[in-house]
Amino acid sequence: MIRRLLFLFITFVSVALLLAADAFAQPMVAVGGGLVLEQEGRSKKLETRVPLVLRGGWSFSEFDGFVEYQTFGTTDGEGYVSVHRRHHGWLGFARLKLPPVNEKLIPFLGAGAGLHFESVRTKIAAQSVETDGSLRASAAIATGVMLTNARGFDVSLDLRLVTSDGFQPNPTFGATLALGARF
Amino acid sequence: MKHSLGSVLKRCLLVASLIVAASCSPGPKGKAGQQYQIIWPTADGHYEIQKVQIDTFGDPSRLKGEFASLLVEPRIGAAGLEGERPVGRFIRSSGGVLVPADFITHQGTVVYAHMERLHRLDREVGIEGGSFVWPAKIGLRANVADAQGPLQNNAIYDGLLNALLLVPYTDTGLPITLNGGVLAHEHFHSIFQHYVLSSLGTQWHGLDAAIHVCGIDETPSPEIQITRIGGSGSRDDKLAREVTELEYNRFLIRGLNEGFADFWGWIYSGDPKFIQRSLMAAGQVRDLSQDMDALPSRETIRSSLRRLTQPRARSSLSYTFGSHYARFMRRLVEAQSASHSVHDRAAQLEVARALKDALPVIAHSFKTGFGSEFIAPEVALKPLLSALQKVTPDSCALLESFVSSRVSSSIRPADCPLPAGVPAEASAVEASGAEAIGAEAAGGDEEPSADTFSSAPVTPVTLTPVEDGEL
Ligand SMILES: [Zn+2]
Repeated sequence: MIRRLLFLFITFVSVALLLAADAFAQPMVAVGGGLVLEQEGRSKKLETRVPLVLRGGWSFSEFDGFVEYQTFGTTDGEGYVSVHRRHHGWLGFARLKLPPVNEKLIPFLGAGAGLHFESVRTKIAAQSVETDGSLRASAAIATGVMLTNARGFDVSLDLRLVTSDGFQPNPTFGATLALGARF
Repeated sequence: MKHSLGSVLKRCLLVASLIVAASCSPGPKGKAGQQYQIIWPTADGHYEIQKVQIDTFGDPSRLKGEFASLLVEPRIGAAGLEGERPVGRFIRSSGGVLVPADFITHQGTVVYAHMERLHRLDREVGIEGGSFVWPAKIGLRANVADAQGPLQNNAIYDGLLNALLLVPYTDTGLPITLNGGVLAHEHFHSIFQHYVLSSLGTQWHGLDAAIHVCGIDETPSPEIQITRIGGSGSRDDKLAREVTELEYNRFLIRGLNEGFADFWGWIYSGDPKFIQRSLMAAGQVRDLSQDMDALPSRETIRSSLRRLTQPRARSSLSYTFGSHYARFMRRLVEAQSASHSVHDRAAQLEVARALKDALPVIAHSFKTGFGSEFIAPEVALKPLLSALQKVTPDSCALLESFVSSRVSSSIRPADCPLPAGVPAEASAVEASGAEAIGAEAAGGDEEPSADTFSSAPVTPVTLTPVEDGEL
C-alpha cells in the first residue's frame, strides 16, 4: 500500500512540476531503455538486465530536474519451480549541462536520490506466493551526452553508478538511452 | 537564477552522498531465529512454499554459515573445490522474513537449511564432532562431465574432494537441490566415506577413485536385475568374463553405500518416495515403500556381474542391490517399533544409530577381505542388528525372510534364537562375513538354478546398458 501511495505521490509531483513550468523551464518527458549489470550467483558473473525507463520533469537552460522510474524483471528456475523478481526504482535526478560540444551535442553530469523496492514471486507447481520487499533508499551519479534538435526533441545517453544496500554489486553499473521531448 | 541552480545541484549531490554513505551497509545478516520463505517439505513429504527458521546461516548474502559453505559453478583447484565469492540476493518482507530473490539464492538457502537439520540428525544418532564434513562443501550448478558430456539431473558426492556437487536439473519435477531426501542421501555418503571407505586405507584409494563418486541418479533400469540363469555351466556363463574379488567387492560396497544412503534419505525426509519426486525412473526402482525382497546371494551377484561387463551398468545395478538393504532397514524400523509403525521416530533413530555403530565393523570386514575374498552380501546384517539395543522377535523374523534359506550364526544376532531344525554350525563358513570363493565352490551351490533379487518368479531378461545422462 505504501508503495502504491508513493507511486501516486511521485506521479502527482511530476504532473505538478509539468503544470507549474514557467518561462524559465520547459516541461520534459522521456522514455527509453537501459541496462543494469547485476551479479548473479557468484561475484564475477554479471547478468544484464534491460529496464524500462520513464522520466518526467523540468528542463532549464543549465540543468534538468526530473523524476525517473525504472523497472525490470528476471525469471529463473528448474523443474516445476521458478523465482520471478521485479525491480521498481524511483530516482529524483538533477542533470547539470556542461558547455556544449556544438549546438546540438551537450554533455552533462547528474546525481540523483530515491527509493526502490523489489517483489518476488516464488512458484512451485500450482502454488505461487508473491512478496513485496521493503522500501530502500538508493542514490546515483551519472554522466552522459544529450543530442538535441530545434523542435524540442532530444536523445540522451548516460552511464551511471547506483548504490543501495540491496544491490549486488554495490554500486551497480548501468546505462540508459532515452528519447525525450520538451514542451 | 544561475546562483539558485548551482545551489540546487549542490544540495542534490549532498543528499546523494549521504544516501550513498548510508546504503553502503552490508547485506542481510542471518541472525538466529531468522525466518526464510523457501520451498520446504511438509510432514507428508510434499513440497510447498513455507516460512522456515534457519539459526546458523550467518552470512546469507555470501551463502555461508556454520554448517555449509556453498559455491556457485565451482571448479577443482589445488585446494579442492574452489570458486568465486557466491552472491545471495534477498528481499525482506514487511514481517521481517527474508525471501530469496533469485533461483540460485533460493537453492542455496534451501540446501543450507537442510544441512543445518542434517547436522542435528547426526547429533541425534551420535555422530559427534563431524569435523570430517562440517561445514559441508557444496557446489551449486556444478559443471561435472563424463565421457558422454556434462551431467544433468544428479547430485554427486565426491569422496576425494569431500564435497557435494549439485548439477543442473532439466527434468520436470522437484529440482534435486530442493529435495531434502536427496540431500540427506548425499550427506550419508560423507558419513560412509569417513567410517568405511577412508578406513580402508591407501589400498582402496589407489585401486578405484571412482568408488568415491556417488550419484543419486544411476537410474537402475527395471530390465537390469541381478539374475542367474541356467547355472554356472551355461553357454552365457562361458561367454562371460570371470569376476574378480575386487570387482565383486567394489560392487558390494557401493551397493551398501547407496542402500544405506537411501535409508538415510528416508529417515531424514520421512518420504519413502523421495527420489521419485525428482527422478521418476530411478525413483520407482528405489521406492522404499515397496515390498522387501530377499537379499541375493553371493553367487547370484557374481553371476549377474559376469554378464554385466560395462562399469556403468554394474554401477547402476549396485543401486538395485542397495535398495534391498534400504527396504529391509525400513521394515526393521517397523519391527523394532513398539507401535509397529515405520513412522515411530524413536525406532527410526534406533536403527539409524545402529547403522552408524555398524559401519566400522563393516569396514573391518572389507578391510580384511576385499582384495582376496568374495565378501558375503549379508556382511552388514549382524553388525547392524547387534548394534540395536534389543532385537525384537519381529526383527528376528524379518531377518529370516530377508536372508531366506541362508540362515547362519554369522548373520544371526545373539537376541535371535535359531529356528528349530537349523544346526548352529549351518553356513559357518560365513562366520567372518567374508568367505573365500574356494570354500563356496567346495560347498556347492545351494541356490536354485534361476535366482533374482525379486522373490517373484523372474523370466530371463536382456541386460541393456543404462541410458545416457547417468554418472
Ligand atoms: Zn548415492
